[in-house]
Amino acid sequence: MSTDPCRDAVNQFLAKDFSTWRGLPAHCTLAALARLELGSDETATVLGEGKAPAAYRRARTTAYTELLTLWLRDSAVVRISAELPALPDVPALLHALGPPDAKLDAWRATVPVRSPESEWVWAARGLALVLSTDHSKVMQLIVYSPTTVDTYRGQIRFDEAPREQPM
Amino acid sequence: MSEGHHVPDEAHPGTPFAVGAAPAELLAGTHVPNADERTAVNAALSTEVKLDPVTGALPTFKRKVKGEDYGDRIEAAVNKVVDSQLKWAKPMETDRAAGHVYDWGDIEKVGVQSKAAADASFGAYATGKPLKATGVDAKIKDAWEFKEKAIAADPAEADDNATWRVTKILDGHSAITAIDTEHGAIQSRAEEKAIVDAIRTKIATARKAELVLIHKAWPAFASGNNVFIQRVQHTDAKGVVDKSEGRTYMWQQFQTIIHEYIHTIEHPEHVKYRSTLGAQKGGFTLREGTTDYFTKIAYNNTDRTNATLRKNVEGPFHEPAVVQPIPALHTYRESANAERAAGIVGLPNMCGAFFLGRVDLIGKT
Repeated sequence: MSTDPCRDAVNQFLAKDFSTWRGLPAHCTLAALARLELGSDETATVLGEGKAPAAYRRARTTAYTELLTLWLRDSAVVRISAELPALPDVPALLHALGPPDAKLDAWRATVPVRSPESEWVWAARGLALVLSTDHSKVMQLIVYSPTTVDTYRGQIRFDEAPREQPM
Repeated sequence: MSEGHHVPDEAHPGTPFAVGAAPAELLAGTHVPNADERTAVNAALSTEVKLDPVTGALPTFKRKVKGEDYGDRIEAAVNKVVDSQLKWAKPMETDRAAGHVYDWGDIEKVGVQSKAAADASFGAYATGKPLKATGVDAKIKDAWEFKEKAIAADPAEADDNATWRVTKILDGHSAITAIDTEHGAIQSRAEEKAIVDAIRTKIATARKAELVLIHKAWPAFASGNNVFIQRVQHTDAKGVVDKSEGRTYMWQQFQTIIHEYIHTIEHPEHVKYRSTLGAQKGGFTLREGTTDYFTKIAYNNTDRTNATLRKNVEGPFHEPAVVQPIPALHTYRESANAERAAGIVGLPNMCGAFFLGRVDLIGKT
């Protein structure tokens, strides 16, 4: 363990070790993500039901197949998400984490259809997992600072439906 | 539209003007709508079923028209649309299996042209970086590949994919809309909903494999701030791509990426406002309809006869002596709602709201 809790959390994130995950420390900046290849394209967006302004960038690491999305607010990393993160032994992870604080209806990956109670939120741990229907796989991994479910929903959750091009 | 001599923080594309901080000339020609205009613009943006202007009531549902049953007609029409979609989806499966795909590098070059086209019309208000398909900044991804990954991770995705394909036909295909109109049907109303829901389930179950194939082959979608497009390339028996097909593909990407680029420069205050509206109360119009309204403007403001543009868009398929017929631009039907709204408050107001976050200009009180 280093003396930098942000780097420690990022290292744990890269190790895919979430059974003891305690959240992304508040006020971590991009400097804590030195082990990742950071993109330079920063795009304004909003997060949460409160549509709180934020920005996002991409990042790449060999630990995850898909690009990561880093969500920033006032230079602090407020959320990191990974699609199809290929976490090992998901049933064991869910057992270790215990019951979530909330189960939310999340959008399917490619269609504007909600999958009931598929987003399990451990707000006090700063963790949310969008699960496959049989709970054997993680479709999306989301980490953030420990908070409440209300704050997660209001300011951190990304909840925009997929949309298709007309033809 | 502005003449474009102010660019918002060129060093930081993607950073919008703070609300109220944009140069005054960008708001030239705007006005805060009065109460009547607010009512009118809200009605224009709404895609809800409208009451009959004469009777003030919703249409009466007629189960049979000229002896034909509503459900039978809807089911037959949906199946016919699925059959027609399979005509383009099946060959794509064959081509995908052959492994030929369009080059990401060529698609990125088109993205540069798409950004230039959008910026020429709207760059004074907001700019972003060109959408990348490779490297750490990639936002353009392979639709077919991602859908297969998602289904592999959760086979139940395929069920929802199949159901969605039927839903999409039921919700908006012109053949269905015509039948609904003849029967006075509103699919959200209990009697019609029961009929339509049963048809949806029946077809999504019976034709699941075909519907999933159509889903994987659908031209493009966006999710999680990524744009997913098809890279499947049709080749002949010798593995050679028809250059005309290649040019058509590149022009389609040019159109798609203009739309997607404009999404990236939507002001967060506009996102926030439209998110407070229900999808049918104007939320979807402001999200997709307005984006397509601006896409049309940018696209039609681009001289597509320009030889340099043609060369840049068509890339490796360009042949100087051939003037390729450019495919028609397809837009969301809600772009018509956005155009109606612009007819009430004016284009400067629409731009001020979408790009600068002045949502009071489109009716927010």
